[in-house]
Amino acid sequence: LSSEVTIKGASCFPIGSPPGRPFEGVVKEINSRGKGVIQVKLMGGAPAIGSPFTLTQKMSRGAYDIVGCTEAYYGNVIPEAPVVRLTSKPAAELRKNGAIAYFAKLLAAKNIHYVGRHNDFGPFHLWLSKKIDKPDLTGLNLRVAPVYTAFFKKLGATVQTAPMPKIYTLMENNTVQGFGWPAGAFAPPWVKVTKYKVNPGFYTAPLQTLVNLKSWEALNSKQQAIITKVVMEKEAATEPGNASLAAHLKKNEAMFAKGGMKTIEFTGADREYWSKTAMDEAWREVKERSPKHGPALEKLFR
Amino acid sequence: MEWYLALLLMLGTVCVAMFLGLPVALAFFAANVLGTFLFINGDIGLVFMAMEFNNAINFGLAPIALFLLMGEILLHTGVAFKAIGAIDRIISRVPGRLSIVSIVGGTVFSSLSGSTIANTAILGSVLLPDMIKRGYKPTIAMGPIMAVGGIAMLIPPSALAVLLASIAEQSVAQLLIAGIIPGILMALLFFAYVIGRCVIDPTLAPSYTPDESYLNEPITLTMNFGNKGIFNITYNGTAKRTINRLLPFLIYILPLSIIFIVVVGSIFFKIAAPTEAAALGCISALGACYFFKLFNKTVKITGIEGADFSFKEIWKALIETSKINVMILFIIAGSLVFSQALSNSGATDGLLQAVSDMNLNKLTIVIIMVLVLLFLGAFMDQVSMLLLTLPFFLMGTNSFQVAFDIDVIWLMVLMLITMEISLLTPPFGLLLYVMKGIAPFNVTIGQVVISAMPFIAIEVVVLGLLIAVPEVAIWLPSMIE
Amino acid sequence: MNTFLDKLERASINLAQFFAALVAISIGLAAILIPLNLLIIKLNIGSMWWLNGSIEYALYFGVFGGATWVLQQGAHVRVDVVTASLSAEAGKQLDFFINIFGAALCVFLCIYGARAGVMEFIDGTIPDKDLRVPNWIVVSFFSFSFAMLAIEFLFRMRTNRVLGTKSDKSSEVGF
Ligand code: NA
Ligand code: NA
Repeated sequence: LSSEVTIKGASCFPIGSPPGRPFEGVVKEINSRGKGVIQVKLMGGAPAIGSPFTLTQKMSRGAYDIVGCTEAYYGNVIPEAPVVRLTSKPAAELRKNGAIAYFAKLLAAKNIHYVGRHNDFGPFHLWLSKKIDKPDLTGLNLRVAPVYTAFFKKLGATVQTAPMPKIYTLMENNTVQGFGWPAGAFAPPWVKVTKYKVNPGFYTAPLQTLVNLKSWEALNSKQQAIITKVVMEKEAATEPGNASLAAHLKKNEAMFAKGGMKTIEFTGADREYWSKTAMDEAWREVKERSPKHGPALEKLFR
Repeated sequence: MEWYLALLLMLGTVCVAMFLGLPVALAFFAANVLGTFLFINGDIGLVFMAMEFNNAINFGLAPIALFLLMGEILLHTGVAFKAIGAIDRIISRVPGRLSIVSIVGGTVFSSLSGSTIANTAILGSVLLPDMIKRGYKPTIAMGPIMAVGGIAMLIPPSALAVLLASIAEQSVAQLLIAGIIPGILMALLFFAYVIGRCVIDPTLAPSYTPDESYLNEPITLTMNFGNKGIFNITYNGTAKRTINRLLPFLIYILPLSIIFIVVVGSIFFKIAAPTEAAALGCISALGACYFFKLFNKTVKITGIEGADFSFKEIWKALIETSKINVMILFIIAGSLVFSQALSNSGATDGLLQAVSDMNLNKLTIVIIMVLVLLFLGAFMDQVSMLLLTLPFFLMGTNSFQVAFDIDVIWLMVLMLITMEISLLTPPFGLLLYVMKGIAPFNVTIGQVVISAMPFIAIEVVVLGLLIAVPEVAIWLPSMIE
Repeated sequence: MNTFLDKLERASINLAQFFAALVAISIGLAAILIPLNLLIIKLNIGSMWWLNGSIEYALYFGVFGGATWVLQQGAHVRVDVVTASLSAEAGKQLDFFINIFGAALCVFLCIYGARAGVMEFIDGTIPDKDLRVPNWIVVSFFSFSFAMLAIEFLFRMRTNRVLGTKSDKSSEVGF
């Protein structure tokens, strides 16, 4: 069939790894519905095919046509990338109030078409080896990713960046006394070195499907529609509090309890201060890095 | 492009450029340019190549420099030479005495140095002249020195173990610990071989009476403060022979063993990560050298010489470390992008699929991997052979290690031993050339190779033992899991 | 003409040695600061949050900045199995070819590095790390270092500093 188009895809995560599977699902679905119309050839996943931090930038320059990625990896393309995790609103609402449209426009300026969110691992939490009673992290050294550095520092912690595979060792030899991570993507071995989970969680951990804008415009409406439809279905299915995420989180909670992990639950004013500081600090950083769009995005996303 | 053509093209480019004599790192860069252009989106892929190099160099590679620095500090301050002298004193008359000294001394120094070359160079320059003077045959003189040099990459600190584990994204700590037992086992077999051979054929290493006149000298201890002597004592009693024999060992080896304890202990008991342990090792080495410096002037003891410890020696150690570190990291940068191009070309998956289709069992696959490494190791250096094969053997989710569910620590120890063997195998064996370079007499590379042969055989035996009994490698690291 | 080239060669050697000194200093600093950082973390009195990031940048700039110096020292590992068996005349010709090839490769990488620098500058990309050195600076240094290497290969041809001669210690540098 001469009308079938094949586009090149890449994933920001290793093929077959838990964070990589959702996008592989997207590709599989597009390929099954798009027979004779559109096919995605998945070239592989980072880091085997290149650094995850360059993947989206490469796609925007035409090296790939479609990628599955997290905003944590393309903050170098647009400084406003973090805003998609700084929300507790359902995707449907963000589409209705124009938030997604605003964000998509910023990506479009970098030759990227925003298709949608194809997965969400739910909120981040702080995980500790030492008990705390209030939202005060003074005296703690925490492993951070840029996602929540500002927040933890604001509460008095000292921080150190380290890649995910180093978390276990750092916790084990008490170099750090805690780290941030979504409960939905918690690695089972960490239960052994983690004593406390801090509630409430903060932010959210979404994954997005993005397409090179020029490649997107070269597709006909039928081809575009297949991609959009597949991703939008995933977006709807992974709204905050959706059944499958809830079930997944419940299963993980059982794993935490079995490993003897306790929950530190902030209540009342402490809870409010914790959640507010998390958002305030992250948004302050966004507005600092993007004075032009930060304030408008905050109104829409927060 | 078919996967096997892509594979042939990529490996072929590296090998041709390498054998033409281009520096190995640039051979990888040449293949990168070709591979990136063909398999990673042509022109735009090449533009992004520079950024990928930046991502390839990460914090995990930091301990390499620090482990190299430890050994260089001990080398340039002269402490390493004195430590081997101390070992020389406590070993009395045994068959092949100086060869035994080189095995014991080499094993001790390999626990203080991350560098095979430093290990071999130091033993060779200290012991070879004496061996020749005593009429040792080249076979029994050069062989043990080269063989024990390779143990430095097995017993921690080991720069090569750090390199292997960090590129494979595996536990550096566990691999460092895993090398201890195979390393000691190998040293024991070398030891037994040398004694056995010298008993059977005493002409190899003519027995001699070591000059032990120093044993009868009275022992004087002087303490100086500034230019003033504040304390002075002389002992001339009956125990002086024993004291004269043991004192240098106690004064040199005990403080040095603290360095090993700091490095390995802090990793084993999870007080520090490998990078921190390596840095602590450097500080301990500096501390030890400062301690030995006291024996230049402040404390004078008969038979004990102090260390040359000044800014000049430290700077020399830093410069030598920089040279090796830049050389190694330059190759690493080149080869990581190389493995990305391989992955993008489909060669990695294609080979894995083809091998999987052959329905081989785990043991056969391990033996094939070892044979491939031994073959490559004959022709190229350790880093290159490692980086050529890692994308297939144990990097990422599409590797033999994952597909065949092979214990990763075990596999990495096997790889370390094959690399150790390849240091001695002709035509390209780094230690063979080091030995030829430092030998104080005219030897052909052929003679050097012959003297290495029995030790290569012993190393192959150890390799076979580890394949048959993986517990030898994985028991100790399993203690720190 | 000759004196100008001599001066240029001298300058390129000095520059390479300057980078070598920086590499040595950075390794020394790492050896001191890493234990110090460990100490203040264990004492719960803070941490040098910038240390790991700085070491990462030092390794990157060190490797590419130091590569020319290592080439001048003849300390890049080479496989001389084939070259050692050649006649003197053939070896000389091969060396000429290698120098040309090396220079061409480095010029090529230098050009692509420069294009990457321009692209990153236009995109304004900044890494998502705690220490943010703009990407265009990082890749421009890559380009610069390959320019240095290309020049070194050309000087090798001019002064006939042949790879694999006595001053070439490549077989003595390794693990
Ligand atoms: Na060692
Ligand atoms: Na070899």
